Amino acid sequence: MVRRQFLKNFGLFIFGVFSYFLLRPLFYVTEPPKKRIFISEEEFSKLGNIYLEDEFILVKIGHETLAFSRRCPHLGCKLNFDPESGLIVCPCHQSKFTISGRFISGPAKKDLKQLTVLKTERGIQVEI
Amino acid sequence: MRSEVGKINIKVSILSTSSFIICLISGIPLAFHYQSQNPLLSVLNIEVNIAFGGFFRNLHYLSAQLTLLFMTLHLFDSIYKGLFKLKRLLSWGVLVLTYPLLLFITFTGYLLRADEMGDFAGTIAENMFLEIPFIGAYLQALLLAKSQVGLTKVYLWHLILSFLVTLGLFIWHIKPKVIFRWENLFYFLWIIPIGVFWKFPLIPFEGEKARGPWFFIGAQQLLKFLSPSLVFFLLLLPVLLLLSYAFLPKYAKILSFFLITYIIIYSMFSIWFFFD
Repeated sequence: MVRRQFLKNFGLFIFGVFSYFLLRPLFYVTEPPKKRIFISEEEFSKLGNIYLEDEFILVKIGHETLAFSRRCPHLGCKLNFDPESGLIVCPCHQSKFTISGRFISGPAKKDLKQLTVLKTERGIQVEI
Repeated sequence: MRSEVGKINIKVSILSTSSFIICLISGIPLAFHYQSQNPLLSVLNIEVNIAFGGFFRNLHYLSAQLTLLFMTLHLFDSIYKGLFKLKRLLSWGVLVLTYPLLLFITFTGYLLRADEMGDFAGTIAENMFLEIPFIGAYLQALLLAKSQVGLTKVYLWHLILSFLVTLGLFIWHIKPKVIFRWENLFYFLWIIPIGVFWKFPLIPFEGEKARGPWFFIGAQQLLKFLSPSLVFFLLLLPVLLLLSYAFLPKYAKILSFFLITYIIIYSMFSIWFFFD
């Protein structure tokens, strides 16, 4: 009986150790590297006042250029621009933002995440 | 104990099993052509290039919905007839936990379409996981990790969990001798013509209002008012209620009252979504 008890405990111990080795890699994910997107001066001058890229929004206000992440600060949906009201709208839970990125209404409660825009002579570079 | 409980509705049981089996089989040809690194294009490839690919995709989609529907009916039926009194705590618990597992499999399937709707649903789920205190980030990394590795993990869980659920159900719950009889042939066949005629297209873009999968519309409406972690808890609440049937069989009526109230409120939020 003592030997069986020992084997049971030993088995459970081994099981526990192996589950740790099994589960540890399952919880680990590799973070993707940061992206830098370059828009040349020529292309940039053709763009309208608001430009929606896949992952960011580019807004021109006067001489200033702002870039926002296109992810809604609420739960990460892809934001859209509503030309009728002139606002940036989240399609999932209807949060609304001005084109300068300020929060107006909806569940998001935060302003849009601003990205750094690097201006050079040849164009602009947005870092995501 | 036997005399207190009713008999399970065998038609609903067979229907839920048959749609589940159809779903499994129709998933096989899709899995051979699906590439999780290149999801949207491979789904389009299945639709356009592969022989009967569109048909199998429709059938897979439809039978998954039907499985969920009949499984829900089967669960309500077993509660209504008081069958949880016959089960041990563990076996009732495992059976009840099969249900959220099945929901998760269906949800991962919804993400694997990789159209705009699936993408939104995935991102929302991911961020909701991250809102859970302490374990949220681990759960996100384990179950979805969509923003880091794309749909790779989602696809793996879709396959692994459907395999495990099938294994578990056929060992402990479903009796093949009852299901696989020629008398039950039409329980299987009726789904196929519907799969031919009812199309489930990819949804590219819905402008300013996007809609999630039908069983999560209520949650989507709730998220407009409540914090994400609270909504997550509310989604888990029915599982806790269902589990407690086995712990507190004497209070079954009160539990059923809570469950029905929950379903009514949730459906009202779902309907509200379309008028908001």
